[in-house]
Amino acid sequence: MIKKVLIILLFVLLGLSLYSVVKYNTFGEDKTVVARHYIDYGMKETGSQNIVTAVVVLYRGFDTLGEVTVLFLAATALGALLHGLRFKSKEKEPSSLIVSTAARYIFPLIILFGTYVFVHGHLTPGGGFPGGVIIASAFLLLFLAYTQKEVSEKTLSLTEGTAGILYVITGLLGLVMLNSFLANFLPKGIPGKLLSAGIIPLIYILIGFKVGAEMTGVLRNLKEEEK
Amino acid sequence: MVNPILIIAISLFGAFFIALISPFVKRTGKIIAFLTIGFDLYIGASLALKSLRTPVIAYTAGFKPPFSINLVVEPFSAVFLLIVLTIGFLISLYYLAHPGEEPEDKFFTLLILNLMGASGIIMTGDLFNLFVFFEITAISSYALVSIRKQKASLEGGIKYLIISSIGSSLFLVAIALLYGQTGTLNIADIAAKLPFINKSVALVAFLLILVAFFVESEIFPFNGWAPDAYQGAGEGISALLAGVISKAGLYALIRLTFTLLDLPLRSKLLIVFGIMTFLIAELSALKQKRVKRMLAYSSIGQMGLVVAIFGIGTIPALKAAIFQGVNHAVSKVALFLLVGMVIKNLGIYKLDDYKGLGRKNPLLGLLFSLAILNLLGFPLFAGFWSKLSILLSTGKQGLYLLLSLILTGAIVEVYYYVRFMKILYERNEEASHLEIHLLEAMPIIAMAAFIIIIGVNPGLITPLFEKASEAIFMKFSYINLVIGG
Repeated sequence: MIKKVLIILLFVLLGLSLYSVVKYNTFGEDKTVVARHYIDYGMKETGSQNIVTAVVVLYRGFDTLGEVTVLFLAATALGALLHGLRFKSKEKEPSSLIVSTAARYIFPLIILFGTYVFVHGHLTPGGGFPGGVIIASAFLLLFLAYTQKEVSEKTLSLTEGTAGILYVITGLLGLVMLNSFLANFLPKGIPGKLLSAGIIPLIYILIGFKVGAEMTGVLRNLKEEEK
Repeated sequence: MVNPILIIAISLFGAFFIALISPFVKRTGKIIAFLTIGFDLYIGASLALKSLRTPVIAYTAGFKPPFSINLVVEPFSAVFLLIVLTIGFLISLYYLAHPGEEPEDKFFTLLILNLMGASGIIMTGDLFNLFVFFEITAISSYALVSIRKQKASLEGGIKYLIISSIGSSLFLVAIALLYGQTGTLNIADIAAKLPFINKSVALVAFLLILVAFFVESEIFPFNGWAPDAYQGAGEGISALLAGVISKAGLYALIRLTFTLLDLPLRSKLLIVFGIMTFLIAELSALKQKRVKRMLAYSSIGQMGLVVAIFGIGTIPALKAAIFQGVNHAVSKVALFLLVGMVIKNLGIYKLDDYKGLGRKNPLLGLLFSLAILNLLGFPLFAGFWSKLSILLSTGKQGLYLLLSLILTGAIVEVYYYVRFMKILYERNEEASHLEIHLLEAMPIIAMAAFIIIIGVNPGLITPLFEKASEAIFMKFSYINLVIGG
């Protein structure tokens, strides 16, 4: 009882202290320092029409490499923790004719859309992470529609590992050529064109593949059952 | 040209490479992890040496901070980098001859990334980047703790996951508050703008950061996860918790409260919470029946002591705290690895089961005694010098209450460790003989050598701590270093 009261008190205290200071941080007003710089010079310095992408992949690209690692870690950790555990599941009913037929036609379209999202990351909203997740959702549909369908672990690991290694190599090339990790060593091109913004599309394609393979791997791990 | 980025790049390369080949060639993780971490240590050591003359700064993405992320290695971070990578390397060496947890390839991937996260926390000069590396370290730690999938390890892992996630979300809120005030995420830049930050915002952000990293550095009352995590994890991972993960959390705690938000409140809070942790943990260790849990509580206690000494904040105190942190890392890692060898051979967990083991296995007994005596600060061991400098620096500031509390805790510590040693050397005909693999014992022998060499001649290493404590003491030199030049 006392414990519960204490917990509630603690949360009230946390809420009050946050409430009392949030008013000092004005939201929606003119951007300051770093954000101002990105808005004013972002397109000129990176050649990317999408400034959010320029911040994510170039200015703070090192964080993005870290986030890619976080996702990789989460997938690896899940795989490690599920290793050796097999869950009994009910006998699966095969999906209906409508689902399996529709899946056959929709699957390539979803893949195409996912690819579009990560290839155009520097032009339109989206990028490698959402693109990769869309691709994984295509595989989810496949798993649901065809219960016997398997994606080989080898293909997934190969895609995942290769994309990750190429990402690191891209970063190192920047280090070798411009003395700065993840620096843009390719021409910036004309903003708005598909081939522009230097290494940004390249990195987003790699992330797209990596995230797609990782999320599919997660789904595969979760659907695996007693054999 | 050594670049701190290489540590991150090579670790990622190693981790992705294991993922790439593990479906084709099994059980390569062990070797790849050893090579990767060895390379990291090589880079880290050359960086540390270089940083003693001129600090090393690396920019990413070809833009200068605050617009991009930078890594900074100056003497204070260099010392922590050395601790973390050396311990990490010794643990990977230990695992060459000791079975890793299953699934092995994934286990070693997690180990590499955990060390990468810890080095990232220590090297980064950017607040949000610190959060990213903190997440990497934390997520890999949860998995490493629970990978054994026994009840105790799952319990430890899930407690750690919940408490640490709350801590990291508080940290994130603090980052948002500071970004809203200053419009930048660079640590040096925010530190320079501290006078312009609204006082109450700074205070709330400070407290949030304090809580977040009290969780990681195992400070009471935020350390409920720690005993279970230490107990449930494999012994190599308990060593990792004591020598790497908690040290990275400690580094972030000190860096953020000394450099980023240098508020006068810090000193009191660190001392009070630190000494409270020390006393409570030492008293809890006293009544433990299981060796690993006893070591866990002792580890928590040591972290509390180190935090309290950091709280005093004078240069001699900072020096003493760093020295004690190093000694604790070395001793505790050695102890956990030794316990790991005992468990692998005999499968015993209770204190009483250790009866006579030291008498029957002289090498094991010797190494156990060295690590324990070092921890207790026995003369002519490295620990003696750090304990002495703790007492001197506390006394010099006239903090006699703190001094007496430290002595009280230390007496409790002496009592249960000596009791443990007595059990080790008790006469017992039935004590079993241990097969000790030399490679497995190598890292522990290396640490024992360190303890003795530094014990005989502490001057070999104290100049390093001197420089480190000056570096963390003078925050303006850090600010100038990053955004001045």
